[in-house]
Parts: sequence; C-alpha cells; structure tokens
Amino acid sequence: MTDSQTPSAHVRLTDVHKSFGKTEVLRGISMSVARSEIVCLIGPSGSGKSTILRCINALTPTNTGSIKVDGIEVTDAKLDALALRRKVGMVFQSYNLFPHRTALQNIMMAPIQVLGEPRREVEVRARELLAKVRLEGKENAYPGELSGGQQQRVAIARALCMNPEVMMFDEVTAALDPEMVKEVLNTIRDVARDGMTCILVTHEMRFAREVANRIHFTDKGRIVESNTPQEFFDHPQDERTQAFLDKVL
Amino acid sequence: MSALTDVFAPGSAFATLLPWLPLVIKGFGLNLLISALSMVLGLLLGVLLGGMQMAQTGVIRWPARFLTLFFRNSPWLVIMFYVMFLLPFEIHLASFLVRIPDWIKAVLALTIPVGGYVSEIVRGGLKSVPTTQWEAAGALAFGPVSTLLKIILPQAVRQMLPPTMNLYCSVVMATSLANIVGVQEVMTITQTILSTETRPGLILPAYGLTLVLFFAYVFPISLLARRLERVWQFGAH
Repeated sequence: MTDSQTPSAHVRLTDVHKSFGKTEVLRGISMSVARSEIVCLIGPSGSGKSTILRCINALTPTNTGSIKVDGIEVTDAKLDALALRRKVGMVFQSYNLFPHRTALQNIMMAPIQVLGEPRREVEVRARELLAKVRLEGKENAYPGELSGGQQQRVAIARALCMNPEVMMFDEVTAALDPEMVKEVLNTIRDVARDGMTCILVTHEMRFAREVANRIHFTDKGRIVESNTPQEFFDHPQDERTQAFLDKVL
Repeated sequence: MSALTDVFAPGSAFATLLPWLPLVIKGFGLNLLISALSMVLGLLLGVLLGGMQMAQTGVIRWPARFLTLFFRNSPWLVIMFYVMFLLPFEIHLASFLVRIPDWIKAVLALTIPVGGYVSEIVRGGLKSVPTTQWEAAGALAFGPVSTLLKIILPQAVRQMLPPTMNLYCSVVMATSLANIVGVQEVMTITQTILSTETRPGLILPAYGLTLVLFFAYVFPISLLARRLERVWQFGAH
C-alpha cells in the first residue's frame, strides 16, 4: 500500500486490526483518502466495510494500528472524540433520525447544542440544506411522517449542517425501496460534487462506478484490491473481486 | 321514586353516614398525602436504582439489580409491618427528640416497593430507545450526558409515563394497608364509624363510600394513562 504513505492524505488508516471477541473483523486495513476524494468500499457482507467507517469516527474502538483524520490520531487513548466527530459526518443505513424532533429540529440540534452556534444562523443554514436535499415544505414533519428516502435525505442534511470535512455513508440506500434509492443517490452525488471528502460503503455498483475516484474491495477483513472504478469493474485483478462482481453485476 | 326517598329518609344508612362524611373525607385526604409523598420519594429512589441498573460496571449494576428485584417481589403488607416495627417511635436529632408519626412510617414503607417498580420502569424506558439513537447522537458529537438528557430521556419518558401513572393508582389503593398499623386514614376511620354506630346493615354502605372515594380519584388517572399509552404508541409526537 504505497498510497497510505501519501503525505497529503485527509484520512489515513495504517494496519488497523479489530476483533469482536474471537472474531477478527479487520485484519490489517491500510488505505488513504485524499482531500475531496470519493472513495467507495465494496465487498461481501461481513467483510468489515461498516466497521472501517465506525472505527474512523471512533464509534468502534480499534485493537491495533493507526487512524489519522486531518491530523487527529483516532487511536490515541486521550482522543477528543467530540472534536473528531465535528470533522466527520456519518449517515447510517437505518437513518436514525430523532423521532421526537421535526425534520428541521433534527438538523438544527447538534449545531446549536454541540457547536454553540446562534439559532438564527443555524436555522438559515438548515433551511438551505433542506432545500438542497429537495425537502422544502417538510420542515415541520416528524420522521414518522416521512418516507424512508425522505428520512435518509434529512439525515444527510443533518450531518451536513455540522459543516464536516469528511462524510461517511454506511449503506445508506440498503434499507430503501428501489424508487427511493435514486433520490438519495442524487443527494449524495450533489454532496460529492461540492468537493467534500466522501467515504461510501455501498452495494450500488453503477453509482460507485460513476462517482468514485477510487474503489477498495474488502473480503474477510482485508482490502484485497484497490483501483480506479474503470479498472476495478472492467479488469478486476483479484479472483475474489472477479467472483463477487460476477455475482452482483 | 319511593326507593330513592327511602335512601335519604331519617334513619336510613345514608342519613346515618352523612354526619361522618367530613371525617371520612379528611381521612381520605391523609391517604392522598401518603400516596403523593411515597410516590415522590419512590420516584427518587427508583430513578437512582434504575440508572444504576444501566451502569456499565457490575459493582454498580448488580446491587441495584438485586435491590430492585427484592423491592418488587416483596408483599407490600409485609414491608409495611417491617417498617412499622423496625423504625423507632422517636429519634434523637442532635439534642432534639423527634417523634416519627405512624403515617410517615407508612410513607417510607410504600416508598420501598414503589422504588423497585420505578427502577424497572426507568430501565425499560431507557432500553426501549434503540442503541442506534446513542450512535447517531455520538456521530453528531453529542457527549454521553447531553445524549442522555436531550435525545434518550425525552423518548424514554413517553414510554415511562403511562406505567408510572398506573403505578401511582396502585399506590393510592395500597395506602389503605396503613389502617392495619393504626394510621388514621380512611379505612381506619370507617372502622371507627362502624364500631360507634349501632344501626345494623351499615357495613356495606360504609365501605361502599370508601370504595367510591378511591374509584372517583383513581379512575380518571388510569383513563388518562391508557390514553397516553395509545397516543404515544403510534405517533412520534
């Protein structure tokens, strides 16, 4: 992995190991993501893709190895997790909106309560973001009144309102009906085009091919192939990649 | 019509009980005072125990778990007797001699099972909020305390309020246990009336009156609890 040595990396993982009990989920993950780069993690389920994302924002502690996000060492015992998470936004497969708050309140809560920004400024930004994810008019809707696709777009706006430097998307379309997948992917495409550093775990192969600068294929806790989308899909090198692509394409 | 006038006729059960009514209501007032105080103290105890039950460390969790199960599974009447005879009649505070009235002991006795039940309600309420809510809040840089206060508790309280109101209904009814240890609450007063009045056939109307008092107070609360349960079960708001 020569690219993990690149000095300009925005996010860099070096030989990261993680076990849950006796199960080794990550067996030496090294990768680096440059500023404004769009990276997709693809691989069979249980191969550790989501765990990689959760390690990057310290939701899951690692066993060994190093993770650096914009100069912050995530594996540091004295890590300021909150400072890290202000830089890294995350969107989950199951949306995880706060059900007791409206769409607008969901978006405004963290910037006001965590960053201490003035309510008026946050509200302006939150309304802009809602418009950006094409949900004008849904400001006062509760999550329970929104479709899955709409909830997921609110979740993306909620993460964006923290003005993160890196956005992570963890299989964000996996729980959606097919007709809602497109609207969420369009939203992510917009975010990627704005120059945000993005790390996506996804099963949407066509989308990965279209937006990604680089694709990492994971299998059994290792990255077995890293390449540009073109090379990855047209000339897969590793036989595990070939077998996987044969199944899903 | 004649049946109705019979009820109010001089010498009828109603006419005999009427002069006692202010005393009966005053006794019932003591029941409400006992129920309210033991509920407040029980809530404090229960929130403490329930929070401890959710602790990561076993040293905190296991004693709380044990006490909760012990308090919940002991008969209220047995606890009442224990507290009555365990607590001294008076205690020394500095140089003062403070008497502990029996009704205060009844409050403390009821506090114990209420604490146990509230502890389980709190635990259940906190557990009813999916762990993904903790993660989502964490990913937005909320710390553990503000996650609990701003995101988890507001959702958990909706789960906890209806069973807490039902518990309060049980506590109100359980205050009648205090009559066995001589507290001048409504049941004790009813017994006094019955032993004073010589008119036969007064037992059922007299106890019927206390029944009506309890029912009139408890029923609306339990109705409200049921309504909240229905409303909050579906909508998120």
